[in-house]
Amino acid sequence: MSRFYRRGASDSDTDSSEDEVEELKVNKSAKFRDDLDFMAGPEEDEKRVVRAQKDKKFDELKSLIKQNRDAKSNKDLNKLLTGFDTLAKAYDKSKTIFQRQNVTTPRFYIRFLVEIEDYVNKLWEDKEAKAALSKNNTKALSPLRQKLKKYIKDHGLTDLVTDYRANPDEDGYETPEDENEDDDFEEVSDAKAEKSPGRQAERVADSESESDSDDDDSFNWSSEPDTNSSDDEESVTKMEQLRRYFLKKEFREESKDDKKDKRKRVIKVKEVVEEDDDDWTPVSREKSVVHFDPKEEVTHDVMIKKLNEVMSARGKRTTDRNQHVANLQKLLEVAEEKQLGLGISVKISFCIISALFELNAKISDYMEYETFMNTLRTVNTLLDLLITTDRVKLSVTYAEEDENLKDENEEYRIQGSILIAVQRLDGELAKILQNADCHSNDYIEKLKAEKDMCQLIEKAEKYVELRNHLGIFDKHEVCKVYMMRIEHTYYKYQDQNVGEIAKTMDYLCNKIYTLDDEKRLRQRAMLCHVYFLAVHDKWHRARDLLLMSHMQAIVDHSDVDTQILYNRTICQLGLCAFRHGFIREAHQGLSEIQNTQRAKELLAQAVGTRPHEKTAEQEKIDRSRQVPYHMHINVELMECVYLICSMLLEIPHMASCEFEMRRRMLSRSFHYQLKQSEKASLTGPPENTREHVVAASKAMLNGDWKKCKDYIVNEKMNQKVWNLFHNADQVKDMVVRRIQEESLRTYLLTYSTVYSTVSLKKLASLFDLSKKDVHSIISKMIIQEELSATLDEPTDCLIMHRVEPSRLQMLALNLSDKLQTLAENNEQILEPRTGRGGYQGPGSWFPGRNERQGDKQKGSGGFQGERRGGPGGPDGKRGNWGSQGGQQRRHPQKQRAF
Amino acid sequence: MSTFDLTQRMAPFLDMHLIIPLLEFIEPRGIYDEKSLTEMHRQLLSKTNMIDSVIETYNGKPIPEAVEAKKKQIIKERDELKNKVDSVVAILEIPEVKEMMDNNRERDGNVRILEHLTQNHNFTVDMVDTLFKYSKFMYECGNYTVASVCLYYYRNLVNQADPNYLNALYGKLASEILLQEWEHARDDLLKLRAYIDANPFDTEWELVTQRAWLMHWALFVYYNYPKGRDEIIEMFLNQQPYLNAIQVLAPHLLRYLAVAVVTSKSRQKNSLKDLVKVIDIERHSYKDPVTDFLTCLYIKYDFDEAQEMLQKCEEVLSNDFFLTAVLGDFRESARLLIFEMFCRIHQCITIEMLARRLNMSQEEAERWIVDLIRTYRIEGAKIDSKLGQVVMGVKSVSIHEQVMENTKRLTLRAQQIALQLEKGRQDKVKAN
Repeated sequence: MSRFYRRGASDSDTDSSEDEVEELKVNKSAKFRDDLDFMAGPEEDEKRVVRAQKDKKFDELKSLIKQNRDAKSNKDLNKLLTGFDTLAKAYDKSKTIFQRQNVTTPRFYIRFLVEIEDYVNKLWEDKEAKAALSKNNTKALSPLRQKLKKYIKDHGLTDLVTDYRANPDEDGYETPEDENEDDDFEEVSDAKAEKSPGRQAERVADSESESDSDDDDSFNWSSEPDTNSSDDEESVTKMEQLRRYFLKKEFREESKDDKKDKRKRVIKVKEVVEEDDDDWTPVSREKSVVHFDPKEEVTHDVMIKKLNEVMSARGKRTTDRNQHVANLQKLLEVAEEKQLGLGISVKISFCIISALFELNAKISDYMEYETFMNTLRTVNTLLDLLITTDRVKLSVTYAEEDENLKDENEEYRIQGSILIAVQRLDGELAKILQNADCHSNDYIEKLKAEKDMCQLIEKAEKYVELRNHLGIFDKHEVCKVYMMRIEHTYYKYQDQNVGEIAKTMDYLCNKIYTLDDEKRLRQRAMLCHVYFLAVHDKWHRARDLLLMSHMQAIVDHSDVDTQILYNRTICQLGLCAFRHGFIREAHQGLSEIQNTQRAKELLAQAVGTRPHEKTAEQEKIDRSRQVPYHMHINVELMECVYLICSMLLEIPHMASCEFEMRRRMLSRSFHYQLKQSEKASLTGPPENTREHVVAASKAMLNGDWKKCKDYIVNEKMNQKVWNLFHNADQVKDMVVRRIQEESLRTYLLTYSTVYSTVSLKKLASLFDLSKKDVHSIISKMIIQEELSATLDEPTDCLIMHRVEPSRLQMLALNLSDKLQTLAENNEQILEPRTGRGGYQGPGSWFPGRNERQGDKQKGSGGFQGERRGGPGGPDGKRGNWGSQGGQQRRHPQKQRAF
Repeated sequence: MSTFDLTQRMAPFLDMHLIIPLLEFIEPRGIYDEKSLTEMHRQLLSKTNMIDSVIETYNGKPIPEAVEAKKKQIIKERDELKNKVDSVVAILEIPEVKEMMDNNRERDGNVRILEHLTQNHNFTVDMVDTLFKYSKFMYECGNYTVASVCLYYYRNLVNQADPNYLNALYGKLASEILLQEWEHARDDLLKLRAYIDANPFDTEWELVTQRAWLMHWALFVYYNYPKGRDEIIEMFLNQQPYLNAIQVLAPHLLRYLAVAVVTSKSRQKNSLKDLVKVIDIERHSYKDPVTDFLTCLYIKYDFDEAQEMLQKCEEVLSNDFFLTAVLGDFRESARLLIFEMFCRIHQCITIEMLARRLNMSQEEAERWIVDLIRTYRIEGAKIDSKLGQVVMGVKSVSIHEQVMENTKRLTLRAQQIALQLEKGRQDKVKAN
């Protein structure tokens, strides 16, 4: 669990468990000190024991105080409250000891109380800060404040507090008590020794923001089972104490020395980038590693030895990662200075890159932007070098023993993969963007790196194509490079040069279709391809490709990332269909996502709103899957388009089955919106897009197409919806035209019982359509038996045959309907039909999508019943050629010659 | 004019020898530039061994030497092959062997005959290859009769797994087509189709390609065979894999399918529905007047445009190698489709308008309608000669009837359920 999550709306569960762990630690160390006391044995003088007891209490209090401070700095009042309670109790217990020894209330305790009180009071008065607090924290605030007041009063500490306030320690002042105490007692107290590492850590944090991770670890370790730091630290302190115990006299100096040493190192770390190495003397152990003996000549072997020496420190807990990088950079400098050849340089550069990646202790943490740019530059330089020379072979297939770093006559062989480095860099960029605030300028700044990244990937691709014949690449690596480029291209809409980009995209995707033997990358590439085509209005190709890929059938079994990509693709395809006027298809595509109410979640554009359903772990994973902001699909636009599609389909449908009892809904969420607006006692003018569509729907239901049009196409909607299309006018015209047609249909269906004849001319003028169009619309309705009417050609009239059923007739109809259902149900119970075999007509060639696994909701049958692709049938291989179909289709087939 | 000609689109799917009749067909129509067409024709011929035909194309102009040289070389080669193959044919023409072959069944495999021959008649495996080479050579020379006979033997001798087996099947089919032996061609077509459907190929892609080829070759057979058009529907439309192949590789075949469906007398209704669906889906990748006619009629319901398309169709059909023969049939059927549609939509139509739509004079139209009503017994249609109108009888379904219709079968169904339950109960009793 990282700090980040703890600060956010945290679960009280995990917090308390952490508390427990930390308390446990305290107990443990306390117990250890008991052991120590025991070791001290009875022959030691009384005084020592007493002193140890007192110090022990001090330690305990201090560690509790530290915990509370952490909680304070995390703004976790809940924790602070509980922490304070424990602290108060602990203090009460130790009070007797203090009294026995005539020790007054320790100054650090008072200082802490004052600190907390100030903090709480400040929070209490600062309305804004209070509002920013989470619910749990707000709850904890007032009891904490009261408790604090009462505690100070009850324990008669008021005087001391006021004393302290009159004469406060300076800010950030840590443990003057210790020093005082140290002066009081001749011997060094254990307490101080115990305190020093912690203090050290804090100083590091103060002086150096970059080495944040250390600090991070120091209070995170307890919840991290994999880093064995806790044991380490424990044993280190244990040993230290033992040692100190026996070496009382020298200890003080040494500890000071130690401290100095460490402090120096911290400073060094900070400055190391700019600093010339002449300026400083090798004080620390690590530094001396890089230092070459001036007399000795630097040869390959010496260099390699040194490198191995430096590299052996890699990954160790004690190694300062920044220092590690600096060391390597120094080595590289030396190597280039002495002209040890490309092999060594590449090897060291490669090590630097890995070291840079390892600056972060945890994978879930994102890289600092600066470090990222730094790494990017390093990788870029190395790649340039590799492109210019073909003497260096970098491959994962070499074993470490096979490496050739020094022999100039042969080509250099080095283990490693620059491609994987590029790939990792790409991942880091995604993480950086995920964690940046997407509405700030900062995000835009960081987004600039994306361009550099694209260039780097292109370079990598070039490199691959230059060197692919050498056989140094793993097939998978190569695929990944192409895939990366696809993933950086597919979502971008290009106004100019579409042909060129499309060609590149085709080329890249085809590469993957042919190279990749695992299904996953191929599926992803295909989805990206479809997405790309959809964005660029190649509706038919996009649709055909998607249908041929059979993704609907397999997506449920693929990983979540692919599912997200699938969802994105379907949405984009839906939007594309809408732009082309394929309302039904657009509706189908979008409803899969829109009907779930969790559109954002399914597109990975927001983390679920119901955090209690997920564990912290899951939430973290979810977060890591989020799509960076610049790739988002506009959800509001999508919703609006979906609702418009629903309106165009649903309103005539509603009109046609007015008398049927069982109405089949095409779109649940649209009906929901309609119902909501009906419920409202007073409907004002529409404000957001959703209300606009609902108002338009109502107008359409009344057959008023002009009003309907005005609701859909106006200034407000232009701004929010229509201007977001690149061919806005075309789309608007299409929508208006569809509104006219569907309004006419609705009108006819609704009023068919009222008229016995309608003149076509009249209809045409009413709906502003040509007579021909009216004729064809009506013909269609008659043929499809939606409208029971016939045309009278000589008079150009529509003759209605429909009579409104009387109540009795309607009931009879309903009854017969129900009886039929009853009979069907009975038959079903008696003989449950297993599957639906047999001929289903060429329409439904696709098995509908099954219910999504996990958190995905059930979707409607995709673009079901559209075309092509055999039934899942005996030869499940069909997907195979589907993928190649796209590529080979363009080339005319070779002649069938006998 | 040339926009709707499919020769160029079809060529990749056909054998060179099969393209020749197509070229010969379009040559006099003046669709393409004559010069380039002749040149094309000559090039095509020169790729085959039909050297005499090549010489013919020069039409009295001096003949290049290369051609002469080639002719000599071909004749020499032919003689060589002939010498070799004579002995083989001699063995195969022994009556006993011939009988065996005629009685041969595919399923037994051809191993038996081959074994028999090697044991009794000094037959070697090399001879089979010679036979194949010879027949291929003869085919190239345009001597299809010999090729067909030899391939018949070959096919009976060789195992299905042999790499040349498929080629032999294709060769046999082509020979029969070029000999215009439709009965035999049809048999060969079926054999080939069975072989392809068994999917002996490595990739799906190849399978699809093979199917596309097969369908193109089938056009020769089916459009010349009396019941062929129904078989086209059966194969192209009702067999999903073949329909897929059309959609993926050769959407232009939709024209032939459409004509077949329109002119088909039986089972027209369902196939028409399916066909219109496919045409609609493929509209973006292929359309011509024939498919557009159906689109206008069944998707757009635009009768004026349908009429225009029908006129264009005549032109297209008369210029199509396969379809010229069915032009009249198509025109009739298309008119009927339009009229049917009218009847369903209208209550009353003036004959004048109909005549205009159907491209006939008024009197002709009236006679035609009378015939139509008589032959197809269109319900309730009557001609009001005084007003010059056709009036349809209105047949709206009353609610009363609807209820009747809905409940008609309920009793029966309920009884069946009761019977089944009873039976189940008795079974249980028995089991106990």
